Amino acid sequence: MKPKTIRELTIMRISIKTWLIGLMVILILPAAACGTDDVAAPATAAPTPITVTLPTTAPALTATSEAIPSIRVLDAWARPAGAGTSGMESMMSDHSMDDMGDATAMPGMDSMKSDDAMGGMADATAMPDMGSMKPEDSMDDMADAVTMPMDSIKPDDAMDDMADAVTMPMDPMKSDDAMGDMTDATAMTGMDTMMSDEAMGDMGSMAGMDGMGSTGAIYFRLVNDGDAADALVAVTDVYCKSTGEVVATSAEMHESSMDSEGLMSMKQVQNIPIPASGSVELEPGGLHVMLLDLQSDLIPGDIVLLTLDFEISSNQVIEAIVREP
Amino acid sequence: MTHKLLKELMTAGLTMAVMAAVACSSSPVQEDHEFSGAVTTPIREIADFVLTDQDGESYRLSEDPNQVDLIFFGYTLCPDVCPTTLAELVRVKRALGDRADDVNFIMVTVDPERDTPEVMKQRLSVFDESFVGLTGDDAELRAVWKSFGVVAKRESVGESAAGYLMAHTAYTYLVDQDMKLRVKYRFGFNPDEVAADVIQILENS
Repeated sequence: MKPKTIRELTIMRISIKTWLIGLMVILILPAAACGTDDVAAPATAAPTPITVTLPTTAPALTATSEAIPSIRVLDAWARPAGAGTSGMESMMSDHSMDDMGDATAMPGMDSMKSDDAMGGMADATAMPDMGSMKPEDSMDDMADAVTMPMDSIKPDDAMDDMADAVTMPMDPMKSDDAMGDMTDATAMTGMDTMMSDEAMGDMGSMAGMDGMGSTGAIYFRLVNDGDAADALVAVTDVYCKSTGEVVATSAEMHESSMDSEGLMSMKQVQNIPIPASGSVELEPGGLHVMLLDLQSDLIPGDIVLLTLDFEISSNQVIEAIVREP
Repeated sequence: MTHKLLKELMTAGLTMAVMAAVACSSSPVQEDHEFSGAVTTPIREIADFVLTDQDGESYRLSEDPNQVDLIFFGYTLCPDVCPTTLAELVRVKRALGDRADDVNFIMVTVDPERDTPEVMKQRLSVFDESFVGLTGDDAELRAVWKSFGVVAKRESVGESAAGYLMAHTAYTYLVDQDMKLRVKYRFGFNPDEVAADVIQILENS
């Protein structure tokens, strides 16, 4: 019994030693690496005087140029909201979308072999029947990422853009020109152009069935790192990221407030000022973006794309995730 | 020797963990429970009422005498305050676990013109299918609002596409098994605290 324990102890001691050595190696190696960097730095930083002179001219430039706002949008999210069955739901149910997660259910997929391509399609959704599409017209509006039979795509970089891909049967599209247009596309203008006018007309009238339709709210934080004030003046183009469908026909800025009696009311605001070097929070019970006439349910996990128009800064397209209640 | 030391350490750790657990679980229900909302004094009874639920069926508040009610007044076009309250009530339900079966989560509309049973059903379903959405005609609803002290006013909103909005009292009311209004919570209540209050009422009524 005892010798065994002694042997165990020796083994323990040896393993502790090994660990210690390992630990030291781990600690010392990066330190040494940093050290060499430090040594290398002065050697490569020979023209230091030049880099010093640059900052001295910079303040002079900013002093003469006008102050500008610099807006960041943080933590955008939306409440779940029920639009019922009057909107897009009837055309593309969530259930059918879930089914599409199974790659074999996607038309045109069998011709895709690369594992990378499949990985990129994790978030993919499929358009309904695209048979009626006119490829040339619709492709102009297609933004980042359309998946298609792999043998017609050569460069790997084309696949990089496919993370949030929309898949569809691409059979009618084989020309290289068409492919070029797709990868060159920049702004997400929405997939609505891919649906027939008749379909859009139907959807509009369905949404109007119960008068106003339903509403939703989006919240985020606006941070102004610049030295001039700006203001959010409009919110436009509210789309579902995965389907490209219009989520709400209009969006307004509103502010809720409660009086001393507990009476809660809401008023539309024409703009939301963002002070220089300051921030403003859109939050429940206060300022928010009100989505009107929702076209589809907002389900937790959905991502809504919307464009924020600022008084001075350029527009920003932001993503708001629908949070769990 | 090392084993012995390890054993001792583990025993000490376990003892501490058990002590901590006992300390935490010692008081789920206390006589001196402090409600997190405004306690109504004197406690007054709410007049029973019958309204129409989201399935078009009539719903009587006193129907199940074993249940506590969390009642909230709002309207479905409201994008901010009402969905936020519904989301908080979902959290209350979650915090209650199994005890949620003893609670009715109810939204009573302040906008009968737009809130038909169908509309109520659409809007509530994304939060919780078990939540009850009540509507009715203007006179029925006014009587219910009055018994809770709820004020609801229609406000025009200028050029907004919303047409009109409702200004309304945004409290959530806790009514006990005897139809007594016990606590009212302001907008922005803490769901865990409300759940603790509900358990207190369930255990001590």
